[in-house]
Amino acid sequence: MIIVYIILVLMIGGLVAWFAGRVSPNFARNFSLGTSLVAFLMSIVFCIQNYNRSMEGMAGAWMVDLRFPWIPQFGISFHMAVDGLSMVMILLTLFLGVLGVLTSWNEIKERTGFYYFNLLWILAGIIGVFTALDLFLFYFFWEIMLIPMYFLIGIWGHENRMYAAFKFFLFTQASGLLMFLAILGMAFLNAYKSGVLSFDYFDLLKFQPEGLTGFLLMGGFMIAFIVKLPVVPVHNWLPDAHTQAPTAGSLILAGLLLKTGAYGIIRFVVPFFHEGAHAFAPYGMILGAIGILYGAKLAYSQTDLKRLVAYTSVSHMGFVMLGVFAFNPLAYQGVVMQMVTHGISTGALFIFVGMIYERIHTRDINQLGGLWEKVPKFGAVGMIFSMASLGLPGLGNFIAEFLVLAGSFQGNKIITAVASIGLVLGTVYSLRIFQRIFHGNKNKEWDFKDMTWREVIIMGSLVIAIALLGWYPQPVIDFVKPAISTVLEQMTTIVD
Amino acid sequence: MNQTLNIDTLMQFGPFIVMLIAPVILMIIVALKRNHMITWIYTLVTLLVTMILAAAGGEQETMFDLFTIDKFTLFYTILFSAAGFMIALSCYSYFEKSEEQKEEFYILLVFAILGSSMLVASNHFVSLFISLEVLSISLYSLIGYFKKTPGGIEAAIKYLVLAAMSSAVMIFGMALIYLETGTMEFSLMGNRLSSAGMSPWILGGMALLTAGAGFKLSVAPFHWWTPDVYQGASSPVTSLVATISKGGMLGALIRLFMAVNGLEYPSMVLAIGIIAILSMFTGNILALLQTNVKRILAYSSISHLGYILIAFLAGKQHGTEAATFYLVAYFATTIGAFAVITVLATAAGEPEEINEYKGLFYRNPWLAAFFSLIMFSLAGIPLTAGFVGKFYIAAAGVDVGLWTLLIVLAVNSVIGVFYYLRVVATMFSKQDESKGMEVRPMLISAGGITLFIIAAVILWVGVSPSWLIRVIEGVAGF
Repeated sequence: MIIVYIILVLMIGGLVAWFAGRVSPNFARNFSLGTSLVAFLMSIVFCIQNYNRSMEGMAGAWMVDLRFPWIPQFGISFHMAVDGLSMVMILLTLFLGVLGVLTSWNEIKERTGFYYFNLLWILAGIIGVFTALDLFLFYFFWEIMLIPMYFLIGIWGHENRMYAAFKFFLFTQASGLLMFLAILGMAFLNAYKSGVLSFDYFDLLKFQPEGLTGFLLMGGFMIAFIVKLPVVPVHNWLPDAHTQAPTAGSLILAGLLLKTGAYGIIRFVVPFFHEGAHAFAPYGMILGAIGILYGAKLAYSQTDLKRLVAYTSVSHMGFVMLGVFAFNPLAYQGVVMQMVTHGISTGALFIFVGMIYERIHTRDINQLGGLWEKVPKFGAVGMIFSMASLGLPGLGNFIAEFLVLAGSFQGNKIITAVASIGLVLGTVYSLRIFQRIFHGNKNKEWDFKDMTWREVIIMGSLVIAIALLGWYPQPVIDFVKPAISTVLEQMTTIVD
Repeated sequence: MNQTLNIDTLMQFGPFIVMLIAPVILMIIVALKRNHMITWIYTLVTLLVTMILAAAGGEQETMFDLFTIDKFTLFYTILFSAAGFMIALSCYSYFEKSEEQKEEFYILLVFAILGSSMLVASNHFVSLFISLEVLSISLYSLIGYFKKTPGGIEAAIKYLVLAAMSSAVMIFGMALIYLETGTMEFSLMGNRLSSAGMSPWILGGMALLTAGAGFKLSVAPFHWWTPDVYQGASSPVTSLVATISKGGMLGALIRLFMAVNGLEYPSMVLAIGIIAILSMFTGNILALLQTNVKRILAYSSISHLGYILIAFLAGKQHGTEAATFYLVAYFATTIGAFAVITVLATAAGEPEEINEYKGLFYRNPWLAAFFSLIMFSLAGIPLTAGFVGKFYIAAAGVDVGLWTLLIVLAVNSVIGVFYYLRVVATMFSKQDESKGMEVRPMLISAGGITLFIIAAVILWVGVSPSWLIRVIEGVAGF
């Protein structure tokens, strides 16, 4: 039940924050911080409760399984379940959620209450996506995280916000609708076969559509997830949305929303369509490799700092795509690690850029330079996260990318070899971020304050997280192992 | 069995009798003393009593020579009187501001609701036509009534001419069907059709009938009057035209097609399918080009009727359920949208241009939030009734394999998002120096209560639809 309570806490907290904003903006801020902290603590308690059970292998892959009837006429139930994968994602969501509230502290000055309402509801929607096991419910949450995000970008974003918000909404809505049709198709075709109309994950798992039907249904799911991920031909919305969103918006987009795409592929596409996923695998890996290289190249050529970081996301998410379609435990562990560490490191970079922007109101890389001596704390943080982004051993991203490459090498050697060029390119663009901001000529004489205590707390926790994941990733891997092996076992039994 | 009228069966007509008596009493009230408040309250009470009687009259199913009083009829009667109730509730202060004689509006309103309810109850061409005329004649007068602007008068005349034309077309269609089957009663007609099959006369008759009905439903290519009438009529009247008159026609069409098994004829299915596709595209694409909110709503209603036709085509129990469910969602959102315009209207006029809504969120957050909710429901976003409605339609469509129509539906939902979001975005964008409309605090008023109830319905149906689905399942069995 605790998982439902977390969602309720966030939703109710959001509503209260909205009203609180009418009293005083500070009240709304503090209240949202409290709400997100409570939710985060609840998730930690939940995690600890279940950690031992999952270690002992007592509960199987699923730690919690909740089910209430919702619209029984259509076989729709309020079905939520948590396994290791969901658990890790929930922790990440709420961790970044708390930081998102903190980052917005001074940035958001108008309509504060409504802002925090949207922020908390996005978090609620994302947790819903990570836990829903009824496809109707899943789609429900999938859309719920969309609307507040639209507002977040459209109201509090930067100069070109309306365009970006619109583009974001259209891409996700259009692809989501195709997924919706695919969900309906799954449910009804399954009903013809088994005689029972159900939108339940476990019922639909047995369906395994084949041939053209299977291909079309898989396409419906796939398109929604690769738009969110994003994979290169449909990544178009991402640079605009990330650039125009307020800092917390970019943090949540990059850190969490993209992960729902990866999560969807692992949770739904691969288990639902063994045959189809297997046939699609080489193309998926190629798309992943293209994403890695293309994203890296474009990242290198940006002058807008936020846009630059946005393109690094495209590149990093390419690794996810590459690993998911390699179908082996090593790659899957890498994918999950990549989801977590990318959330932290890219999130941190967005916060970092946001902090600079708040002070000097520019994101133009050509106007910066030689800032180290002025603001050494910024310099240190910037260095750590550009190192993380390039995959320096000792920081989490290294583990992730290494595991993905090691895993997918077993899947397809040539594609993996090409993809690993991405690491070199990653080094190039990451160093460029750091070098252009902190070293070199001073293009302009800037005078601004170094980090405040609030910002040190935000960045400090992110640094600790990324370093911990780099030195001791085992708990995460242990946690997701049962979930991963369930997915892969089904896969291999069918294919062999 | 057809029954003769006695005291017991008369009781079944309770809701209709209440609605029939009301205009008489209203007229007497008007003759004695014109008082807006009294007329208003009496109308609300009438509609409330109608709803209660209709809800209480559930179980029994009675077929008379001209009318069938069953759960389907009663459900639609409740729906129409609830819609009328909300429209009447929202428009009090709107009419207070106008100089016209206001009391007659309520007489005509009750007549229109009576006409629509009878339309759904009809099981005979004669009663169908009479009900249709009761509805249409009320609407003719209503549309031209309050707006003595050139646009208003144009709208009224346009509607008068075209509606009379469509009635003529329809009656000719009825004549052709009568020519071949020799009966005007739906169930007998169904029997004769199934034994005799489709002849060119029947086909022509059905086509003309569909065209006439298509006019009332404002589906493409019979939609030309819609934007002008929506724009020209005053908002409460537009709301009435958009909901009750379309709902009545849809109910009648469902009853007719169920009785004569109209969906078993491929040519009919093809024709309606084409109408549905045309409506969806015409409505949505033309809505993109509008800058007038009432016109946007007009074109959006064309496309929504196209969506409903998909459910209609899916036929059987499921399709009828889906169409009815979507109609409920459509009613709530449409009445809500026009209630916003009604509430915002000043003595100078209604805010029609989309620019007038600029920055509404900063001036009146509640109203803007409500209008956003309406737009999201129209766009079919979760948490709203519109989403569940669309789901229901898609489910009904998938069930009988109407994939082409469903893909068109999906494409159109995306097109729809464009202009619905544009309205939302306008409300949220910063107001520039040019003056926007003045917004009075209006939460504690009849209009505010209307908006609150509608918002509650939209959210409630959107989050927990199983109760409504269960009711509609019980209603839609034929």
